[in-house]
Amino acid sequence: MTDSVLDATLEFDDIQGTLLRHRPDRYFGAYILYRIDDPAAAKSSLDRVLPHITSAADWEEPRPFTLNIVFTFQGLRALGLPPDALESFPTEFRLGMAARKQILGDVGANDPSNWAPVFGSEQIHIGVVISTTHEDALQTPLGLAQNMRGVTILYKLDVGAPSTGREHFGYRDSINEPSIIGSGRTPRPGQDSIMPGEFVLGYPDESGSIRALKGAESFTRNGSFLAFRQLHCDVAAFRRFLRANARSKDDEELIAAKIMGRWRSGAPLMLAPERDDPQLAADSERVDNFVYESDPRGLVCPLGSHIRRVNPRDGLRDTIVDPKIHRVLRRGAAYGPVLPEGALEDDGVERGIVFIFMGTSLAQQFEFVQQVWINNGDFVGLGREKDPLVGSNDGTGTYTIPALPVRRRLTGLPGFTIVRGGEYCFLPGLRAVEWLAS
Amino acid sequence: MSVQVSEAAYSPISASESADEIMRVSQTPRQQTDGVGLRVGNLAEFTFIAPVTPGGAALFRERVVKGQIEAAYWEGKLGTVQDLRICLINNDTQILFAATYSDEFKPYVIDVIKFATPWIDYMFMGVGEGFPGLSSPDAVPYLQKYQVEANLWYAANPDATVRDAARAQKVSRIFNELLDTAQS
Repeated sequence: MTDSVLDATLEFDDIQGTLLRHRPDRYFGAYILYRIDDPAAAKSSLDRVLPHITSAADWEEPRPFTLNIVFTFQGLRALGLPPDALESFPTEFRLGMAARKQILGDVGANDPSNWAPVFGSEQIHIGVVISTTHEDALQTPLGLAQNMRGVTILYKLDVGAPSTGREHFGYRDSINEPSIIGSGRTPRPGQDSIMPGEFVLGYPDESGSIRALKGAESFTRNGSFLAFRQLHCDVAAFRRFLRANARSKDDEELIAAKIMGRWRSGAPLMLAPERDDPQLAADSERVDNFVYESDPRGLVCPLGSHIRRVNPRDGLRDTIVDPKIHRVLRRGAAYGPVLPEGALEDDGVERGIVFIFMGTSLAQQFEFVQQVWINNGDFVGLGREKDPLVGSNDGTGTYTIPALPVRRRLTGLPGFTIVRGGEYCFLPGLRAVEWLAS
Repeated sequence: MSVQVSEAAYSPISASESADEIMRVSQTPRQQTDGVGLRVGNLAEFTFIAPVTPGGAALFRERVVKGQIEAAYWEGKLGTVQDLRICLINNDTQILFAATYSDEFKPYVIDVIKFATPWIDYMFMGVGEGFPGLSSPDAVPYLQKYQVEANLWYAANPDATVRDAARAQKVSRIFNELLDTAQS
């Protein structure tokens, strides 16, 4: 199937913008979660918000803000989606994120019992995501979102690009993501091209079949599932861990790079194995253009590094796993102030990152990545080792950095991120939102 | 289904065995994270009993010759199956498929289906009553319909996956070669 064929068929004006389009590097925004109290009034509010929801059409045109809207299973039920249509939604979506804690590895400090009380309560019905490039442009969309009737705002999280331009641990973020065939964008060198049905319902997926929810095909067309996840970042613990395990200041940066698979600038170890290369990092044609074929043992980029886990590229060629059916679209946004440079003690201020992961199967995509690639190591022969940065480590974990003549092994790995909450949502097409509002 | 018994309360089957010794090594399997089947440590069991079509048993016996020859190829590629047996039972009216494997079943099911369809379909098409073919959308519901959970299951070295065992053997071989060299 060629890109041009699908260009003509992807319904950009019905698909919500955040699904197909990347957020800008400099951003301000908010995530707002609601409970529906009065369905009729909530429907009227949705009707008023509908014209302001950003579609994927004409995304490149300058606009003051983007606004996208999602619904939980409870929300779809509250808004009157018929029982037979509700039944067609997959189990994991119906149960919600908290109920999937064993699969997601949300145990110990990450257990839903430690989440902000609103999460896992079945009270969250609607979520709104707002993004702008200028802080003062937030006023209009926030006004729209905060004046919705028939609902109660349960949770609001303001986000914005940290002053450093990087996420809290100091890495440049959002470098890799799959290219969706039919999205109208030319893949950058190194970007994998994935069939649209993996991310948008109603289109051919990697198997060639149309991905759809039987019994709710029309309502779910142009929609996708979305996992919302708020992670606290323990930046001080991360810095202390680097300091305690490094032989020098340069070695701290090398360990940080071996943990991520990229230097903090974004330059990948596979292209800059010895030292950082900021020029390479700034070159969008080169920064993501690599495979792991020449490094089967992980001597350059460790097998357990973050980027090699969440997107193994060609690294699983000798196994039966097809990475293309386990890709997710990821949109991250940081919240909270930056921990001052050099600080090794936590200042008690809440900071972290909100991730939204999108795809047409939560189980096959988000949950698979979380369960098999992030919180396990067996898929690359690393036993129970977990992702060193975002795995559910608890102070007993190890991290293996292959090297010659002997490997380096970091022990006592603490959890650098702690889940503050999360929920599974459905991101409908705009016609479906219109139906919900009617 | 696992039975939790407190050490203090346990009375061994054989009065000549020590309760302490039995409880020290006792395993407590839990249910697989997402579905039917038991799990202990990093290992899980998959047990499946399906009806056989009239004449299906003869067909199966004919095909299983190649199935056996190719078993190590297909299962080896999967890389997670520790043992597998397939048996015609109950006067050829049912077929039993029982495996011990590492990893979770559900996350990998699509990958397994994509990969192992030729081998499984060769053995089961026309044999398992109602078997739709592994690549059919009805394959997972068919598996779920006939999957049963073991009432008792034991696995040695439950923390060692198939890959761990292979790696341990390799390390052991290299270490012994090193010692042999040092000795000569």
